[in-house]
Amino acid sequence: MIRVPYGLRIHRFLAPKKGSQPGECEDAIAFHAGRMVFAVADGATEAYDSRSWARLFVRAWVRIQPPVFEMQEFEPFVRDLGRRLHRKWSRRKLPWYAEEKVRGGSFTAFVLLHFYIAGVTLHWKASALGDCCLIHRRNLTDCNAFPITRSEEFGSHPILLPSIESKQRRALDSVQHASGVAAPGDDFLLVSDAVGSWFLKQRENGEGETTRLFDRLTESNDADGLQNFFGDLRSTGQIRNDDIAVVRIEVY
Amino acid sequence: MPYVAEISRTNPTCFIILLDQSGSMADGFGGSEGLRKSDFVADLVNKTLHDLVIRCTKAEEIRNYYHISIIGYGGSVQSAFAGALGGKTLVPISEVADNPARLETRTKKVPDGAGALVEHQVRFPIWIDPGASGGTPMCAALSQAKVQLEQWLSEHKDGFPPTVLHLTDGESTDGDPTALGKELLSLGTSDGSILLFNCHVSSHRAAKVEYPSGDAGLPDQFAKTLFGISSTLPESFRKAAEQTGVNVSEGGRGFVFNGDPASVVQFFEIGTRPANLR
Repeated sequence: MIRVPYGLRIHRFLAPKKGSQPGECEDAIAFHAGRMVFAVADGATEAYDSRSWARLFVRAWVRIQPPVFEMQEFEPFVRDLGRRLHRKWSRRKLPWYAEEKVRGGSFTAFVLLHFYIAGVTLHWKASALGDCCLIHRRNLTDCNAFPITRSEEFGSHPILLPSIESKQRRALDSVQHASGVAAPGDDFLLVSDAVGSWFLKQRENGEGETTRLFDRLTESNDADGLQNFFGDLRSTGQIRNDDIAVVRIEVY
Repeated sequence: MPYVAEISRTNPTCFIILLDQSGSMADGFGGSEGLRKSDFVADLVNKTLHDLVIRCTKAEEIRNYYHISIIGYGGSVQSAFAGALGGKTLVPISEVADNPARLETRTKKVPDGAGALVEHQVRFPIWIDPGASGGTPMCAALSQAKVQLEQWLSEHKDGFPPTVLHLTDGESTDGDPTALGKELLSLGTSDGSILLFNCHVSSHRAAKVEYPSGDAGLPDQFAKTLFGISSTLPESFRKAAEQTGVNVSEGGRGFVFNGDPASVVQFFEIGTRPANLR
């Protein structure tokens, strides 16, 4: 038997935008450490009940074994989820405005990551739609981001995953895929757009001190420290006041 | 930099719609016999309120990002809300949502996802009814708007500045509105001065002027008066204008003269599009 020479340390942080309650956070995180699957989603603020759509999506995705990436599996997977959500809504007696908004459905951005071992090599595979982002660092220096690579690319109107079945196919055509090999010392960040934009800007400006503090706080799973850290960034205008989702996976 | 404050439940903004309901609003656009201006405008204000409510809808909850007043002026100057909101001013959007005067059933065409349109029966809320009587007491209406703005601003010093959308089809019959307009424009929050946008709809056939940056090409003194009390469109509103197909040059003001139905629709769309919803 070949002993797998890898381990994953997982850290997570999820917080609503300033002024909102935790139960109103429209970002969602889910992972299954044993299956090495990780997901972050960011429900669209202006859509209907995006929190439910984002949470349903990530939770369902990490439960599926093997994880679905290919279109022929992914499409029926999201179709069923969308139907499930709309069935839930249709059972309720809704006021006129909710009824109207349900017709537009919900939308979410997402990034999905799966590690698997082939031989003695740790591989990774990712899919993303919209402005959630995967950042892969090697020894915390070399840095590759996917699907967005530069901070200025955030803030546009990305294509998002709709809950309405008839709108899904077009969005799914825009899902992007990436893959690679991981090694001890590698570090993977799955983040929603506010953190992604901030993090890439730091890298572009060569400002390493703040990201080192971010790394230390995530490593120590210091939720209060991270709350204060992002609070400071918000108050100084360095990060947008938005929900925050971070999953950090260290390979050792 | 002004006009960047976030709009949230703890930091809402405010819309005041000033609506000319004078007798001439019973005429058609451009002097035609067709659609009455008062009917068209009432329908458009209801649609605008509908869209504002939808924008604030989260699941079954409405978030109070906006406070709304509608001041109708003509035979009298008063809140134009009908039904349970009658007489009320600066109403939180959740209260607006829950208290239309009535719900009508309308047919709406929506995409079926396969490239075609299908008809749906939808419930459409009505908050205001058409009105057309009396003169054009514009100064009295601006005075009432000022009182409401001062009240609102005293409680919201750092919010996104209020937006006043003023629609009229004729000259003021109770004096020159310039001084009052300037008084309104001197009010504001730490994020900027209030935004006063004016839309004039014509009772005669005449060339329309949209979002000019200067008054040189305006046809008469009344047009220049309204231009003089119109705010420059902030960047986010100019972007909203672009999205509706209107190119507004830098320095362009929230001002339409001799507007037709299409330009009135655009005016309300652009004027109710402050960014930064949180």
